[in-house]
Amino acid sequence: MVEWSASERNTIANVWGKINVDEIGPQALARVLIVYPWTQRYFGTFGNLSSAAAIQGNPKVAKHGKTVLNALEKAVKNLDDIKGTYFQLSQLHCEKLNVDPDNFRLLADCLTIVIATKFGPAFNPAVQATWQKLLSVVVSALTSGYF
Amino acid sequence: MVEWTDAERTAILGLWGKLNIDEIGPLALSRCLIVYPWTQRYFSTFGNLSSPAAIMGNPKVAAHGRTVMGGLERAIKNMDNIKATYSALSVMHSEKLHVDPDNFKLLADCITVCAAMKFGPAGFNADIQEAWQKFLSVVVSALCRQYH
Repeated sequence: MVEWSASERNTIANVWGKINVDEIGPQALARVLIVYPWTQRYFGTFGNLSSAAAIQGNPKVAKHGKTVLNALEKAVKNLDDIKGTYFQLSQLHCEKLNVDPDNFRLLADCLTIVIATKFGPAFNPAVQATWQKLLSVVVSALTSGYF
Repeated sequence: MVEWTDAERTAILGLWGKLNIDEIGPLALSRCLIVYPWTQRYFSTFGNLSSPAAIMGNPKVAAHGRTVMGGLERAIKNMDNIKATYSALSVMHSEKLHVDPDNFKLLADCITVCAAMKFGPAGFNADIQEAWQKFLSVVVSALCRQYH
């Protein structure tokens, strides 16, 4: 089981408290679709993804970005059982959505970058280390239902 | 051979032009040693790496961070031939320094995070991120090239 120190729990609560889900979610997902364009294959029903501007203005992308970030809140609120919390979501992504699990890491990376652009120097190395630990536990949990 | 669009060249060179390599080099390398602590194994002669504060204040880390960015500048100046530019550096990292090539990506990620922190959402927008990450992945690939 993943161990979280008191300081890590504090850091995660702090960072999460400063995140506006409705702002960060859309930005992170848009970045994934722009920086790693093959990920657009999962969003064939989303309409116009033909340019960075189109992606950033696409309301379905924005809505889905919020959905994803709201799901991340479940991990923040259940640090001691992220794997259990995400078991069904993991099965959904594998069996129904057929998402290559490598893509979870790409979204995690974009989330980290968006937060870095927003927080600036407050995203110091210790905060980054804790945040990335959270995201890697999340990615691992989302992958755990695959096999 | 890697193809760069005009927009990508502009984004990469524009970003590079705004970077202070003496500032970002030390920040990125110390971040790497803190966020991915196993990388400290390569720097046992660097003295005190026992805490984030020690790492961020360590002059050898800072000097080496600047060295690394100087190496990156060679890729910036030779974007159409990064593979050849880094051939000797790649051999050195493999045969002399024995650096696990996975670590190149970790340092690249830390450089990216530092750039994102410095330039914010407008200065490090999605298009610039795409171009910059493409550039760094070409650099990482060139550094891995001579390993086997």
